[in-house]
Amino acid sequence: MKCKEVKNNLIFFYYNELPHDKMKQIEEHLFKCSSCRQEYHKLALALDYVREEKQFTPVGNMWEGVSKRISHQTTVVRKLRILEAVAIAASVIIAALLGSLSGRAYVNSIASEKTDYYQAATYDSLVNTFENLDENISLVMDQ
Amino acid sequence: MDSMNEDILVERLKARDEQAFKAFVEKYQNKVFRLIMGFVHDTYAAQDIAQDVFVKLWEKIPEWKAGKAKISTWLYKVAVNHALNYIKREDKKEYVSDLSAFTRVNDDGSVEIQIEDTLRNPHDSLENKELAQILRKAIKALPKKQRIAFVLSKYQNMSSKEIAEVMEISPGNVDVILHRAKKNLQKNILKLMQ
Repeated sequence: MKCKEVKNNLIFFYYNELPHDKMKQIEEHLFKCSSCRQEYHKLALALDYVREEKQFTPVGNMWEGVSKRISHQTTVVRKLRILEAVAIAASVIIAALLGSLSGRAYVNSIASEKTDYYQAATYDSLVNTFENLDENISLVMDQ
Repeated sequence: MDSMNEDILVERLKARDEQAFKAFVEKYQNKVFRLIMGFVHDTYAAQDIAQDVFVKLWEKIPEWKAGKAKISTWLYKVAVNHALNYIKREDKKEYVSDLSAFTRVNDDGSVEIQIEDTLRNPHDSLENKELAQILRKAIKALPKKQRIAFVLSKYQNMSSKEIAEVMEISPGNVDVILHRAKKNLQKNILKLMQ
């Protein structure tokens, strides 16, 4: 087997993913060829680190961290819900207050309009009464 | 966990059973942690991301529909996405910190650039830190699909069928992607170790 073919298959040799005869040929080649062997050692050193990393475990208690985050989130959600309820209640109260104030202003404006109307109507009727009275007096005087 | 047990577990999780959730976290914590390590190579970051993944599952479990897929498959999918998003955010930070790398002027007038070690694995020797850096760079340089397939295969020992479920592609396609991933990884590692 030539160096080029060996070098192309080093990673598959490392993971033992080649047919048995090819594995054997590469093994024999690496025994004889220092250049390929050096390359293989470099590759194996880095790939061995994957195995080492796989042995790492979480630093602390995973469940403790997870449950803390969940309870924190629940508290935040609860606070947000309370804030939401308060905001809704406040807006309802403000709307009611504004409604009542504007209603009162409307009622007042209608009332003042009515007063003006009644005042005018009273004035007109008084004028009419006096005019009628004047006419009646004239009639009595004529008679 | 067989499908029967999994269905019961999902129902208990949906009913917000904290004891069931604790058992679930304890069952999957190492698997999720290891998978994330394959992407980030930093124990503290991996732990943090893993916790986020479990919180996400707790939030989303009421929407889970039984029979759609295995809950573990969904868990791994979320873990992969969280890890990739973390790397994206870190890349942006690294770019900014590279621009303002801390420099020190030595007595002889030479300028030394000090870049903080970004990988935090408490039990690592200097040699291992260098190897971790090389491995991290070599894996990160792989195209996204190749990176995911490689990590699922070598950090999680998943079969092509299981990887196919997580990646939502055919098992045949996984084999092709994995073959390319290994070829490229060898090229990247040897280039970085020159």
